[in-house]
Amino acid sequence: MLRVAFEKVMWSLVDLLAILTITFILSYLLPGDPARTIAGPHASVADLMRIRTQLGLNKPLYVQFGLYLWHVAHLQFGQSIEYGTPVLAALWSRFPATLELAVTGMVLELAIGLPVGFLAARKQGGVFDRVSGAAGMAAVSLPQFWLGIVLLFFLAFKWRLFPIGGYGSPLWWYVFLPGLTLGIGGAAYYAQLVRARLLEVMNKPFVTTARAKGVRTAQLYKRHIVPNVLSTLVTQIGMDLGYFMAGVVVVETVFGWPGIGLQAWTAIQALDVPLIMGTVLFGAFWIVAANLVVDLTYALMDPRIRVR
Amino acid sequence: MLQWRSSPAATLHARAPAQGSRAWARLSRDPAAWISGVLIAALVGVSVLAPLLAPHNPDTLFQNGLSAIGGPLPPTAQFPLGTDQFGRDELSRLLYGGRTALLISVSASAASAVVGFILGAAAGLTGGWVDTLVSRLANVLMSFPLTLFAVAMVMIVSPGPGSLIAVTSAIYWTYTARLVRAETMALKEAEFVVAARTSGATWGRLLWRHILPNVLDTVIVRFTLSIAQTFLLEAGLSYLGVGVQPPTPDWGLMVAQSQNFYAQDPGLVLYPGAAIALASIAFSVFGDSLRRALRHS
Repeated sequence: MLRVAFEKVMWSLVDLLAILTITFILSYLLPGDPARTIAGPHASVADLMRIRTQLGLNKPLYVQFGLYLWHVAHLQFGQSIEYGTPVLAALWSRFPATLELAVTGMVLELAIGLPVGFLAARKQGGVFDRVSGAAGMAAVSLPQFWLGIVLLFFLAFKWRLFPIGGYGSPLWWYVFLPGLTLGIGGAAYYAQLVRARLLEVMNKPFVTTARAKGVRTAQLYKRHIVPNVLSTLVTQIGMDLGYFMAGVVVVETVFGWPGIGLQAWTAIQALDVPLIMGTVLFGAFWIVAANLVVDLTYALMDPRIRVR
Repeated sequence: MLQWRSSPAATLHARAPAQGSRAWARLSRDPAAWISGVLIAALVGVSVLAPLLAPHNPDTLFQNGLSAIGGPLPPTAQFPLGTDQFGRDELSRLLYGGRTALLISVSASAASAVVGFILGAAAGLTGGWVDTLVSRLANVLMSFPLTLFAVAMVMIVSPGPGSLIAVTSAIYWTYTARLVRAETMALKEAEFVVAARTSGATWGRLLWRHILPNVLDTVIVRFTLSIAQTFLLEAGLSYLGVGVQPPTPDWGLMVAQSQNFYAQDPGLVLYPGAAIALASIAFSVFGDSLRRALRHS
């Protein structure tokens, strides 16, 4: 087990290195001269050259890449041009809002998706199964920005049930609509996943055996079916949280939710390259971390992997 | 965005060569396939024939296209769905609005299918370092936050249909490659493949004559589903201002530009958004029907 864990951690580090390489190439290729951006339009050539030397921009590319890795290893992601603060500080200051939104989206997609999937599987091909299947297909196909605008218009603007975007107190009142917009597609996905998995497990021989020896339905679900379905869910839930924390640009932009996604959108408008690339890197880090945690949890839960 | 997920039923297993005619028969008996197929045909038809169907030039700013206070017009005889906030004919813009998005999502999905098949099959067939490289690369690309990563890439190459196709395919080939790799690994041990290898078939021949026919249905299903997903991604990018650029009529862009006029004229936001949803649903449902039809072959 330790060897498996070690291997997985090492592979995650390799992935991170590859991700850093890609973000380095991207920021190198991105338009705009960082020295010029920092110095301003009226700087003298001498000033420009000085800043270039300071930033190491006059060095060969592989030295620049080495410097980049060195800085990242010391958690220095450069300065945001727009805010003039270190990128990491800007990210951390906005991260709590994104985390709140991510957790809400997560809770809502499970709260809707699990019961729907469960009910749909109870009677395969029944009315509820068909209706929920069709609704799910529609839910994953709605453009998030549009769904957000429509929800805002009816529930917030017309009927005044919720605030028109932004962040405030009480939190649940503000976070509900963006959370719902974020979670509705995932809810459809979980409904489909739970349904498929339940139907699969219910036809397994061990369930038939349990039924044949007279296990009550409630016990059957509790002891035999639900644990098997849950193990599939754990992996997906972990990955979802990683993806949501990586920043949800569209939803945050529509609702004016002050997380890292909205900040990234502002950075796009201002061509704030360090902040954009910092957010990309920050998000990729969470996704890699979530994948690793899921892999390890899975290995721990599955005796076939655990005992190796 | 939900593009990273493959549908739980999407993992297909290796099977005998598909019997095309039987799959077609099953498909033609499926009402969902019919409805979505007709929708797709209508979408393609409208997009191709937009210059003939549209009552006006979608980019013309009409002098009489704005109300007295300078807002969008409600439907009139001249403008069947009214005008947008710039005094352009809304119906004409809607008819034109799917063209670029459709071109981008279909081309990107096709490119992803080709690249994904080649890399996935090569990884599954040869194993070893090729497999490690391709799988790792796919894993790394899937680890980037999708929208932001696309935004960063688009900013380098400057937005335009060509660059959007390139950026989208650079991300989406990974999904096809993953599925194809898994199937190829199973096929590799099949007798007919082993026989072909021992009789000295080249890699190219193995890929083309033995692997492709057996994974083609997976690739086609994935292609259809990925049109639905890339269509949504493209709409999102246009909404954020890094996709299709104005004044080109585009549904995602139309929602972004008109959202401040929602209270005055909800149609300006509702119609293009519904069009995106409808197009995406049509491709998802058709992909799903295809999968069901092909699975039993």
